[in-house]
Amino acid sequence: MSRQLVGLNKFLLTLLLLFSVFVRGQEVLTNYEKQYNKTIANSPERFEIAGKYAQALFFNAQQEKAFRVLNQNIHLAEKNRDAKNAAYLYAILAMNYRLEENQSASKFALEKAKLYSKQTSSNEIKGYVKYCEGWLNVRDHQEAKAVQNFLDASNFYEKANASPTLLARTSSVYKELTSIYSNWDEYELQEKYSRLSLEIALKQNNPNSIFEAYMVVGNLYEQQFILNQKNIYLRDLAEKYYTFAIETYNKNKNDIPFPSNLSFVANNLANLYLHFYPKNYREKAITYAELAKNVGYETGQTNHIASAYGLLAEIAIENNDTKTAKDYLLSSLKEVNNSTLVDSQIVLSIYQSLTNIYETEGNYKEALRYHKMFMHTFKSVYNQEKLQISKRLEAQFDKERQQQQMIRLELESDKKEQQIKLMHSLGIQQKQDLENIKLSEEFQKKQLKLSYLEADKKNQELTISQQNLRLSKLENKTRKQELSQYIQNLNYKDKLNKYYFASILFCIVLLGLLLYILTQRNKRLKQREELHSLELEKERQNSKISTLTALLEGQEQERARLARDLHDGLGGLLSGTKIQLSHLNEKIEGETKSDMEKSINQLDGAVDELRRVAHNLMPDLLLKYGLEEALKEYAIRVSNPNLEIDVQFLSYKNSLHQEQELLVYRIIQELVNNAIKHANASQIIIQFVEDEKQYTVTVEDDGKGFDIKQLNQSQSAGLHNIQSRVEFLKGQIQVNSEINLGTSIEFHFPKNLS
Amino acid sequence: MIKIALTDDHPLLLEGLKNILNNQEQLEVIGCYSNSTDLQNALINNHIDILLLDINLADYNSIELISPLKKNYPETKIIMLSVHNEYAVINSCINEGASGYIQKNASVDEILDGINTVNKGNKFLCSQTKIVLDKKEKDGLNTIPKLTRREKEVLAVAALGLTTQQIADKLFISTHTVDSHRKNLIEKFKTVNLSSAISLALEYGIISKTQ
Repeated sequence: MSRQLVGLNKFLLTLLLLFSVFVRGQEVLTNYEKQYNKTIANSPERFEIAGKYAQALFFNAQQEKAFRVLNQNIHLAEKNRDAKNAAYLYAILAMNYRLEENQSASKFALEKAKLYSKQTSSNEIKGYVKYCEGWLNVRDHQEAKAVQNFLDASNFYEKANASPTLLARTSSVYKELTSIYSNWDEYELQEKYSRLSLEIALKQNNPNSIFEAYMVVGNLYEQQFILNQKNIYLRDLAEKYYTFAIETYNKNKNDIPFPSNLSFVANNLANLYLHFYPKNYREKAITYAELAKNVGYETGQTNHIASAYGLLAEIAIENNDTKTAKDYLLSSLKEVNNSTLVDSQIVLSIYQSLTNIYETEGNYKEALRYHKMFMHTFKSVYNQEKLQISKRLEAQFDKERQQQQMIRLELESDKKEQQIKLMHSLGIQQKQDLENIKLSEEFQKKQLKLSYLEADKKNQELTISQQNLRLSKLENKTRKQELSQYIQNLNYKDKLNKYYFASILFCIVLLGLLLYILTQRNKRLKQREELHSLELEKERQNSKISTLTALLEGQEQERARLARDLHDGLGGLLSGTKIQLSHLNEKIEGETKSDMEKSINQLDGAVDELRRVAHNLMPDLLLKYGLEEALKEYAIRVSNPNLEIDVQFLSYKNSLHQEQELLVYRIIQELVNNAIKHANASQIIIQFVEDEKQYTVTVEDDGKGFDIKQLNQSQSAGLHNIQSRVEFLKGQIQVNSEINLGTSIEFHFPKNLS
Repeated sequence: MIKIALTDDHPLLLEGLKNILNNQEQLEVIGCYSNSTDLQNALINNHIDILLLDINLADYNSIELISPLKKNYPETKIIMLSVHNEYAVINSCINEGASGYIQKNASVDEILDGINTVNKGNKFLCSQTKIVLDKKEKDGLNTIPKLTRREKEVLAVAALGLTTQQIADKLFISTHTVDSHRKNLIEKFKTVNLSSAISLALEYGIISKTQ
């Protein structure tokens, strides 16, 4: 029975890797190249087309150029603010690396793509990166992960805004999902996604997509039928969709440039007609097998050619035409040997068929050879398949295999001995051999079944988790219902409350308005008060200034009176006394005369001292002769052989008010006093300059100088005194002093002082 | 006989001076007056050769009296007798037309000398007054102007041929200030432009060429 099953399915093709095949064809490539060169570098269009162009290059054996285009554009896209282009291009790069078998580079590119996809808001690109991850998962035999990523991708695509590429991308996801579910024999889901693919394909109105979708659906029903052969309905559905696919192709031959899958459909349809339809369908089977063969040669797909030959061979065997069958099988094998990409199932089938034919022909040597090749291929396939699923069994299996090999070796050596000794018993030995091998084969088959069972278990687990998901979705639904009920309640209460709320709001607004008016009024009052107090303060300051002015004036007047009294009164008196005394002295003789002379000289000193004091109190000259004369006189009086004082009046028109003159005189007097007292100066320059607008007074000495920051208290007090006088003139003072160079004090005050 | 009138608001001095002068043979003190009104009245009635005039009278600043007195009584010669030793005061008295200036603390001999000198038609200044005037004259002759440090800086930089704006930038002052300094320097050196001032400054050694 099992042998029959193998025989029935031997040349049936599986869809597993079909979707990895991207669009090929020189035309497509040149088309993309044109579009690519038309776009502007660093534009969204350029990035979009760059991905497609790179893929086209890649599948036209221009991998190097493909990587160059990708890397160039990635470099630009990474600088772009929108990360979606970078994510998209990295995703394509990851897939291309994977096809090049450069796993580490592929993984790196994928990580980059994921990173950028996080930064973009484009759901389509997020979906595309997920799709890419799933695609890579499939190729790493992590189908469970792949399903998760494809479902995520599909979710993103559902949320994405419509775009020209969205449908095609969604369709790719559905196709991948269909493929995986078909591997898992998840009939329902497989059907769902293949149907969805078909829907999208019809929506896209792309003949190629429609053809493929029909093919997938046909394949699905075919697989279902093979599992459940009593259900003729499934068989008919498979036949229907395969026929649709071929019809679609025939109608749109020009729009489907590369009919790579046509041979697949034709093969499977031929297989269907051959094995599951009555004998009168043989003609159709042959037609489609021939078609598959021809298209296979056209598109260079070894598997398809081999499979078609296999089918033709089977028909030949049925007709007892072993010679033709052998020819078919050998040409099939020839094709297989010319290619590296071969479906091992087909190779196995070929080997098995050849073995059977040689066996029936009685050519045991050839039969054994092909059987050995069958075994060898079978084992390698078995190893490949088992590697991922049953590592645990591997060791055990290896042991078994070794034992089997040992047995076989023994048997073979036995056989050789027997061949030399007993040529006639060859047939029996061979039979025994064959039985042995058959036994081991059955054992291996059991192992395979075990692994299938395990896979089933995993699938079941997955189904359970999916069920859990559904359960949680249901829970969510009930929660949503509860929520909506709650919201309705709330709405009702809201309506009730609305009236109260509105009235309360009105009251609050009214209150707020009142409060605002009140605060504004208060503020205005406060401002008025502040203004009033400011005015008061100003008034107070004014009165203070006037008091000060009066005080200063009074002081000066008092000083002037005192000075005049001293100078004229006391001075005159002293002068008179001196004249009187000197007159008397002329009459005196002897010792007293010299004493008298001394006293008269002391009187001279007294007059000098009196003059000095009087001058300091009030420079009489200032009132009568003005500032210039007064200052010059002052300079003469203060200067001595060790101290030169120079007074300069430049552009001076004698236009100062008397009060101003007095203030300036006092300031200069104070500055000169400081220079003499503190600076130990040998030269002092007093300079008074009149401009159009202002007066500038400079008092400069060549004394010790001082650090302005480190004035002692009395110095700074003196300076402060000067400063307040300058301020009284509405002027400004500037002090420059350098140690050992001297001090230069400059002050200026405006002219038109009322 | 030289007829003399005395004016002073100090009775003590008047008395002393009168005694001294009357003791001299050729001198005769006609009267002593403590205010200008009395003096004016006396002048109307008497001929006076020498008037010894104090600056501070009780009712008048007698410097202002000099000119009208000279005009009304050209024969009367005026000698100022004052406590003041300021150049401005002395100078204005002489400019007004006084023939002599004697400070009150001068010796009696000097006063007599002055009266005699003036009476002969000459001018007389007492020794202390002479000192004041001489000093002033010497200062006036001192033609090398005194410059402030800032002015020296401006001059030195200007000597390098910089423009006003460049000078201002270099010394961190405004162009207005530079202009003001320029004007002052021209006035101080009594030249017509700054370049002449610069060459004078170089000549006097106020600034050096290497700067």
